[in-house]
Amino acid sequence: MKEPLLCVDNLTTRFTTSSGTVLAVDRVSFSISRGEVLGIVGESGSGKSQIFMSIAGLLPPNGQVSGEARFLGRNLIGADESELNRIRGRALAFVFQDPMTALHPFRTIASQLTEMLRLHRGLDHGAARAEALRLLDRVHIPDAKRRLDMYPHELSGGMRQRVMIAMSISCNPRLLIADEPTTALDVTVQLQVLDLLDELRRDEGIAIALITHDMGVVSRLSDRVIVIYAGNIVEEGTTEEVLLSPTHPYTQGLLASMPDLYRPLSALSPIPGYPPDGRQARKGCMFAPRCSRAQNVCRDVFPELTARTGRQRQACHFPISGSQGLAS
Amino acid sequence: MINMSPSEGSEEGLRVRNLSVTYRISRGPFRRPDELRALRDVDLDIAPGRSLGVVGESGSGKSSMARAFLRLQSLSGGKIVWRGHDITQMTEEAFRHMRPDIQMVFQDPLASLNPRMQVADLIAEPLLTHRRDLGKVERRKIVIETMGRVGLRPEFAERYPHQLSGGQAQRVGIARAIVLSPKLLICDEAVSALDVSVQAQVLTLLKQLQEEMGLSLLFISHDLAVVRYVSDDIIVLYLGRLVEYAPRDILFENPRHPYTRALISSVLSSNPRIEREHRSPPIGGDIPSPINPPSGCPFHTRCPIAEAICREKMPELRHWPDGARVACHVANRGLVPPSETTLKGMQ
Repeated sequence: MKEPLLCVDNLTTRFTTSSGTVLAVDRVSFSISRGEVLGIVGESGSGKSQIFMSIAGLLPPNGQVSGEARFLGRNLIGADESELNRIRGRALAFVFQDPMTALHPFRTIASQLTEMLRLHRGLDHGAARAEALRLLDRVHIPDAKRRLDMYPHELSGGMRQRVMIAMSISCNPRLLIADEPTTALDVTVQLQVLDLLDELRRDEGIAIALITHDMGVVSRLSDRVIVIYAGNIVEEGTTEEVLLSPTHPYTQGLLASMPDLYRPLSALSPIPGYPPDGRQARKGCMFAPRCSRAQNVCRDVFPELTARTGRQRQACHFPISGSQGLAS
Repeated sequence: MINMSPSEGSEEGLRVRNLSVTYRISRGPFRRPDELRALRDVDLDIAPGRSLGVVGESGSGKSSMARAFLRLQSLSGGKIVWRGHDITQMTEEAFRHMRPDIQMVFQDPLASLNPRMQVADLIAEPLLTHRRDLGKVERRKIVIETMGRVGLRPEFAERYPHQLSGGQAQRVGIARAIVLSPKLLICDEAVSALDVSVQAQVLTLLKQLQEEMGLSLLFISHDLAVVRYVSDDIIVLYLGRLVEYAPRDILFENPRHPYTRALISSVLSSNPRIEREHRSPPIGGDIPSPINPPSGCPFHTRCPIAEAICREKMPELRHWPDGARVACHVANRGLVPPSETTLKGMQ
């Protein structure tokens, strides 16, 4: 079997803070194949972004990582800066939530794009400008020629996010880490940007790690999904499996607490309690205090991620079987 | 103006007519400031105990609306009539007497709470301002009672905002808003900053409080699925214009304005089969700048059914027999015979 594009094994990330050690990512293992979209779903503080910050070596100095993350055959954990710099922005690219903070406010779109193309791809000025124009066209920015000489504030939020995507694909990445790429956008624009990401995957075979809190976004774009709670993967499966027949009570609770236009109004039912903040002692299942199915074993024994029912994997001692899942 | 809603004639609820808000935006010295017409001629009614959802994207004017109701924003036109009194014409003194009736829940719970006050004092603060007749013991009693109502256990009384999670902080925000037993609660993106699992808790709480206390609710949000959950009636705003009003089920089952349709079909479902099988392509284009809105109907630049007239003339809001009101030249052609709104000018 061909090795996956990215293969993460037993990844653990800790932060040392003045109020103790925070375990942000706890024994996480997963993989992403070429051209695949993996949805990484979790709420704020779940550690979903920290997984990828750890992999890309972008943690603040107080973060420590253990485990392995093999990308294109190389382990990135513990790799030196120069090696990471050869990979980041090229084979491994990012798109963040807020394009306004990622773009330089005082420089034109052209100058930001061409700088990157000259630096990473060694193009001369003329070639870089032509390539910048091609990239803006590629992400469907209308009137691209005129937009090249604009400043970020002159563009709408959707256009800015397209510029960010143009930058991130400028060096032909194999994996695009998209962290809440549409969260800051208006709904009518969100769909356009998701469709653009889908197109890039289809046409250029770019794999996407789609980090989001929004099950709708995952449902639209992902092939497979992992659900993160308190730094652990609690469920993994294809998008259809996880969203249509969730087996982990947290996944089911998350789906049931999302208002959905395509479900009856009465279906909204919140998960009681609040997510833990990462400083708590880790014993047993982290979701147990909020879980209606929890029994004594859940408070004592950590549930490993395994396939207990079918192909779907879940970290739960008492997984929900098919018939008890959400009706589609 | 004709008013078809159940509150007509009564002096009870909220009645807003021709609400207009204009901002002047400086372009630097010696240049005429730009005008940003955030809201133009918006009419709405909320009867006692009813909830009205307001949906719109960036630039729709929805936040200006919330601010106008609390007089945090002056109007460039129109009136806001609360229980028979136009609050825009009131003296400061008279408005202060009315202020306990109208309370607001804000988007960012932590930013709206004084970090140096304990939860109990934060909730007691409105009582100190508006209910000077209360003694310390009575005040404490109301605070604890209110905490119970919003699902905060008594041990939270001594906590500070930084010791609260987002959901708990929003409960404190709601407690502050309901402690004076208001009649109208304005929620401006009140659950948007919360995590999904907590958002549902707060939504359920708001709905339950509305029913228990008989509150009128004005619920402003960019999220149509959330608005659907709490609203009896819904208005849709686009670039400061009201484009459609309808009772909830009518709006979702039979949206008539092409923008409402686009908005509804842009909402993603967590059901991947729906996403993969029956998904119309997204509507194109961007929301134009509200500083320089399109002529005629503001939606015509993105509208799939726009005609020549749409570029020239802003469509009138017309009443449909089922209670919907729609501002669209093309959609309203389905409305025969010409509706009673043609009488409007004579009244």
